[in-house]
Amino acid sequence: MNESPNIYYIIGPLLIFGPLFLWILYNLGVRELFRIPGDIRRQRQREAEDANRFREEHARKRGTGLSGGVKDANITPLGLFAQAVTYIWFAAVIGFFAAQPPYTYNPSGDALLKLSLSHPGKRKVECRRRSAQELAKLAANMRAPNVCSRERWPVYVEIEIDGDIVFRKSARPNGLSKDGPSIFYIVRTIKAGEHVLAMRLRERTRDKEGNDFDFEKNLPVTLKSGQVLAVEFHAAKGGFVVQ
Amino acid sequence: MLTLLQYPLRRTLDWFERLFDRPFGAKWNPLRQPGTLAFFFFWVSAVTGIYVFILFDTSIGGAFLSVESMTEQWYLGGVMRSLHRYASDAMVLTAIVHLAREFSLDRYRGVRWFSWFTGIPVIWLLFLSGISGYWLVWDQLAQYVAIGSMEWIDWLGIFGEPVANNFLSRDSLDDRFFSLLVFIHIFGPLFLLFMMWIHILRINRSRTNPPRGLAIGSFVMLLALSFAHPAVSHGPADLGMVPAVLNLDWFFMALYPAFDAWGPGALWAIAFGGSLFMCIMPWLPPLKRAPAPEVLLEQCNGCTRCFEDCPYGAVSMQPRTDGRPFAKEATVNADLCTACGICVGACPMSTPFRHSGGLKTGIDFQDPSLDSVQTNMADAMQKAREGRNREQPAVLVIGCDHGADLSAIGAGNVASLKLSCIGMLPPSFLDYALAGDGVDGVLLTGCGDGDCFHRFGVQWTEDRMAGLRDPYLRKRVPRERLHACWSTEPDALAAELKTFSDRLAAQGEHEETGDE
Repeated sequence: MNESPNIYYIIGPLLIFGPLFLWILYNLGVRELFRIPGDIRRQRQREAEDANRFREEHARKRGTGLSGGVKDANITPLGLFAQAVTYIWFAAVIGFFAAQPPYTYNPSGDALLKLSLSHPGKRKVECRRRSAQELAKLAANMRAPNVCSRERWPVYVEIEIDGDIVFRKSARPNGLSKDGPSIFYIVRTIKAGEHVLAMRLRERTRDKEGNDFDFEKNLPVTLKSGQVLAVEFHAAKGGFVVQ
Repeated sequence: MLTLLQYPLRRTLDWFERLFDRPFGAKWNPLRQPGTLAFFFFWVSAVTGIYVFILFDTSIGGAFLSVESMTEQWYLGGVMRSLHRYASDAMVLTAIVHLAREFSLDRYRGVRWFSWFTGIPVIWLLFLSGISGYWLVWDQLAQYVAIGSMEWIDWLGIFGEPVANNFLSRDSLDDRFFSLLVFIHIFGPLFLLFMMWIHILRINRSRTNPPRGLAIGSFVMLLALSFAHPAVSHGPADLGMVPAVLNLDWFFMALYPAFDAWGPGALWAIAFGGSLFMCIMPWLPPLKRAPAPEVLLEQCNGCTRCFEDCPYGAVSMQPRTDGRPFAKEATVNADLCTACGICVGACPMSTPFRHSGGLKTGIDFQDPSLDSVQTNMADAMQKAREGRNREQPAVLVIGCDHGADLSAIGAGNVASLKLSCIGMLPPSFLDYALAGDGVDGVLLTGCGDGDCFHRFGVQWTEDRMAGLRDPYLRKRVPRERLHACWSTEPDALAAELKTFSDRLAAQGEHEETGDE
């Protein structure tokens, strides 16, 4: 942050965009602020006289316009002053609402538990190997050794903090054929301090014996105020991984 | 229901517009030009954005530092950054005013559905462009907005895995994904510009630049604000911590607290439901669709004046089909026509002096036809004449559907005539009204200070009266017996009418009627 930027990074844009900006400002009317060279001034005077003559001739031939009518821009000193005051009001509205009033996102100072999980459930019908006869009946390019069902079980996830279940949900597999991963993105607030966190995942239907979680992790955590505790899931790394 | 909302909104905006007319005049009044101002602020944002992008480091590690070093250079980089932010905020503000104004003026129905309908993606793209810009600063606000945006999108379940995963922990976000955010902020505004072009595609003679004085004033305002109150960042983003207090840019982020309170589903319902409702608004009752005028070929010589004057591009010139010795004939596309009648006022055949067996013109409505307008005008003139005396000359007030209410005016020496737009009035009708045994004066009134409901009705009328646009008012018509008052305010009209009436009385040009 304290490192001064390379001088070329300043000069380059200045050279490219400086003239562009000046050109825009100039054409927006800044040129009127500068002294106009004599020949241009004389030319403009001639043009103004021509325009006046044209207007007079026009009025002589076709008559003048209406009285009343659309009012022109107010460029009297008082009008310009009033415009400046109005612009200040506009600027105040823009400047204020661009950053005010402040918004307190996390007023209680709680910590956040974020669990992101994408994991496929087990196949509803386990794969089996094709017999030699079955393989022989298939075309040569279709002889895959295993037959697998596409559909998978929903994945069930449960989160417990200090013995209280704070989340439990079963997510269906993605995809029209229900053959994709089940996805969870869970955000829960936790009071800062020491807690015991338990996370469990089941990737198949519940079995009769009750040993029904395929992955489970229990761990004590100490959370600071406003801390984000991110938990990911990688089956290959043993399940829940706390960042 | 919508009409109930429109009326108070129109009254409120009208009050502010007239208030701002005092310092600015109608031509420079920013409340009368919100659409052109939105375009202007887009360009300021675009040019400053290019500058900021050159100094911006697109890596996750360098983004915040590069923005900070830019901001420290208060006299250039900081000003450019502030201009970029404030111009985009000003664009949101002017776009909101523009939308409210067009709604209150009922300029979103009928053939105007296209601009209204295409304005809705403009709003979405404007927010995408602004929000994606805030991501790139990669401070705590960026962290909050990026995560909120991604969680909001993830609710739809359109991606295989939650996009918010990219912001899960300090190690989740990589330069590659951050570059994608940069591309979103580049292509979002490009698509926005494209949609803005589509938005005005059907508008004839569309104006996308504000008057020079207003542009200079607005730019100086932004520049002064950038110096006085430079845009600054929050602390650097830290995905391991929750941002506590945030200085939201409420122009772009007003819905994020709602997201926190109600969740993504409710916000989608608001955003999608609101957009859908706005999409169907042009077709909700009460549907207003006046029949388009017809071209009467036996009266049309293909002079192109109706084609030139139509504010909606509904009139086109086609090769002649009736064998008469003219190259072109006018045709009306009813799908583009708002039935304003400006084409009728532009037709040189619309003259009350040459009728035999009814007034026939080159382009006319079935109902009310120009012939019936002339009849109504003659009746109104008769009424005004009957009520006049030495102090109160006969005055005909000709107004329009969208100007001040004329119902309270028609009494005594004053009679009124209402047209769909003041631009429907052929100048020869004024000649007719003031010639011979006509009225003593004619007062034209219509939409507030040049801000015509039908875009060019007031302007074309003034130009026709001043002889700057065909068909022009003949020189023989005494200008001192004509007056214009462009105001929607009945009190202002009454005051102008009184002044005009006194002026006519002082001129002593009226004759005392035998009724007195």
